[in-house]
Amino acid sequence: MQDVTNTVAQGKTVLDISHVSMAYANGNVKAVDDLSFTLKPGEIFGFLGANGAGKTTTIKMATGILPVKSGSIKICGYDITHDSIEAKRHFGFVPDSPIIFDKYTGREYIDFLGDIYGVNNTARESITADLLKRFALEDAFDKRISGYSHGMKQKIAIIGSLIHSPELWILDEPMMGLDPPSAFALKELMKKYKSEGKTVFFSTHVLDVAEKICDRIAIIGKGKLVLCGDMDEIKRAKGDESLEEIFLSVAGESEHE
Amino acid sequence: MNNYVTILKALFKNKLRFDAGKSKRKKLAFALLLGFVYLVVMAAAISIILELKELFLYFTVMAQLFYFFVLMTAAIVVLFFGIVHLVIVLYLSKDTDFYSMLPVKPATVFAAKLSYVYLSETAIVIAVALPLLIAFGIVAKMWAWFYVIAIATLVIVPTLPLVVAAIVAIPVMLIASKLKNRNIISLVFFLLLFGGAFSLYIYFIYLTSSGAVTPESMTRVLNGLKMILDVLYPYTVLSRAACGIPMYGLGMGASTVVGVAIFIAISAVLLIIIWLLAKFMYAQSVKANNQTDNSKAKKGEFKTTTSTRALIKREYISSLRSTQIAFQCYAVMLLPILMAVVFGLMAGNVSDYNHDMQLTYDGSFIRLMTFCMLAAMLATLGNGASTTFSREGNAMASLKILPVNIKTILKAKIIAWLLPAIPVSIVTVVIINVMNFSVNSMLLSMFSLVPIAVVFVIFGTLWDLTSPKLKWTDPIQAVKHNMHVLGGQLMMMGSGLAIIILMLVLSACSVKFDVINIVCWALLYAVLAAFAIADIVLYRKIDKYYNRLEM
Repeated sequence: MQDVTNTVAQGKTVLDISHVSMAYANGNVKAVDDLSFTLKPGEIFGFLGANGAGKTTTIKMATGILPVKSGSIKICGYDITHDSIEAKRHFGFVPDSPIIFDKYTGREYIDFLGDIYGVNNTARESITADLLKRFALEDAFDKRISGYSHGMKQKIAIIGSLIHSPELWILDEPMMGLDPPSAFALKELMKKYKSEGKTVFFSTHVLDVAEKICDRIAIIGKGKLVLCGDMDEIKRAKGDESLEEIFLSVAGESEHE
Repeated sequence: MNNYVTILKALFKNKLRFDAGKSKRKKLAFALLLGFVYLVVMAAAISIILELKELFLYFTVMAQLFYFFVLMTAAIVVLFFGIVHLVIVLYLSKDTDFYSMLPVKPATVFAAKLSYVYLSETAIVIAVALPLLIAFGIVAKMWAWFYVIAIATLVIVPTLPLVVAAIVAIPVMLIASKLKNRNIISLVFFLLLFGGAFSLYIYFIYLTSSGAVTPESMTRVLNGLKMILDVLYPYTVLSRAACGIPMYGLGMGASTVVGVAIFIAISAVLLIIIWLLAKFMYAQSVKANNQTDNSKAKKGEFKTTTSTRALIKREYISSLRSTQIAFQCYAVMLLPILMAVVFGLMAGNVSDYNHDMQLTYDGSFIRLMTFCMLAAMLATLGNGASTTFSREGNAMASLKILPVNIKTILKAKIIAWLLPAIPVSIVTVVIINVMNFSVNSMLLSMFSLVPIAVVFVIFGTLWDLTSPKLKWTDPIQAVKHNMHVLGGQLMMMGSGLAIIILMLVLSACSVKFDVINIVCWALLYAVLAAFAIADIVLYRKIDKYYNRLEM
């Protein structure tokens, strides 16, 4: 791994992924291979990699969807394996394909999550009012999710992930299916979240977005961390190349290993 | 033609290859279990045919009636499955968009889908009727033409029930298309249909067999039979033709030719009606599918509750807001109640007849048998519970990221399915006891059947957690192709039937009723204990089962 980071978060870490590995097909295929990195409060962290590089698997382990069989993952100090309930209280997650409970209306879905996370009605009202306006979803909010478009499902998943104001916001390919105004709204929301001292961790293929809004990025290839660090430092170290050029060079190197 | 065959093959492949993810061993074990149960049921039916041998040999009309009732039974099965099938494949189909974008004429897609429904129903008819008709033909020493006619016409038998299914599906479709909450309307319709059919059945039992055997009661029986024979004329004429009973003043040979010709002609007309009706339904469904919902939704309000209640509510929303799921999980729950009424009437009538006819089994024996049958019927209470995790599908990932542990999720799911199951089992027990009251039976059945329902529902939930069927494209696949549903039903029904068979064997061995009574109740409590032990064993490993679920 090429580590160009000067400062790894000292003290409190929001997400601590430590020597995590995951293999499929009886151990023959390594989806994630000894992966380690940490996220500090108040940053936007981009998680990049080619298709099948292990991004979604890592995120699934971090969110408790897949078990962590090797290594450990801590969210706000809580181990996702041993203290999963507390760990899960501290993040909100937007999956790559928003398969949420489509028999619900948007409001019922938010209500359900509010009940699970113990969010009171006043907070539900204020949080959703702002987010619905940002994503222009007010008219559809009381309709069944099954009738929503892909983008609308993505938006309601985003709203649902923030209903409990988590310290860590995890998004897997969040720009997919969003129209330009909504994509813009999402980027603005990420920045706002960061300004509140919270952390955004998202995977993406859209390198332009990562380049513009991320404080730090990590690139993985074949399940291994190949590059991790501060956006500006990486650029300086790589001769001020664009993120696309950096990505192609390091992703290409990892492919040839 | 090529496209027609390709689509038809795709429809069957999609249905039959659903279990591809399962190990071969599991598939084989399941097939063997299913085959075994089928053989047991057929063996029981054939033993009844053997029992009635003398009746068939000496009374040709009884032979005709038996053949008629085999056809009618197959038709009833086709009617119920057919409605669901027609609605799922042609109306509520999820693949309309997919087929619309293919370079295939809509008429070809429709023809392939209708053929798929028809062939599936024909397979059901053959599975139900063919072994019975062959056994019946041999036992009743029917003529050679019986086999030719009976077997060849099996492929036409589904036309009558399917045309009824196509007709009754139309009002549902039309009403549902005009209303916002389509699923609830469809569910209410299905409940009414089932309720209506069972009410008619109960009415017929009452009409034909209430009271002691008197000339008046016999007249009622004959009138009831005549009514059925008139209504189902195509089957009446076919059964007369196949059994070589002369009609219309013709000789035996000519009657057979005329009878078969009438049956084929009526079936051909019915087939055209099905085609036209189904085509209309399909066109409406495609039209409805292409319409966008621009209606303004009524503004709702946020409502706070506990996490367990939120999970319970979620279970109901996800199951009730889909017609097919609701039908499979809730509508069938009414069966034990309906069967309690039917069994209650039958048990009462057998007691009455026993005074006049000196039957082999007395009223107490039959009543005891009805409790075992009801225990078997309680299997229908488990459909929702035994698919509760499977129905999550990919949404299981959304559930796993929530800060709730599996114990809370499990508690919510079990409560959600016990809430309807307990009242249904209590009502069932009350009905059967009120109709034939005895304090002992009341207490024994209340404290065995109701707890059996409880442990069975819990068992279904836990069993589904061990290996839920999460990979599906349509949620109905999580129910219809789920081993936990069929397996649970087979266990429950098998237990009830096994106790009944043992009762009959003990009775045949001249064992006293008091002993049979004790053995029967002991076995029912053993079933209760077995499920309870299985629940405890499975519950101890829930964390392991939940953690190993991977999406």
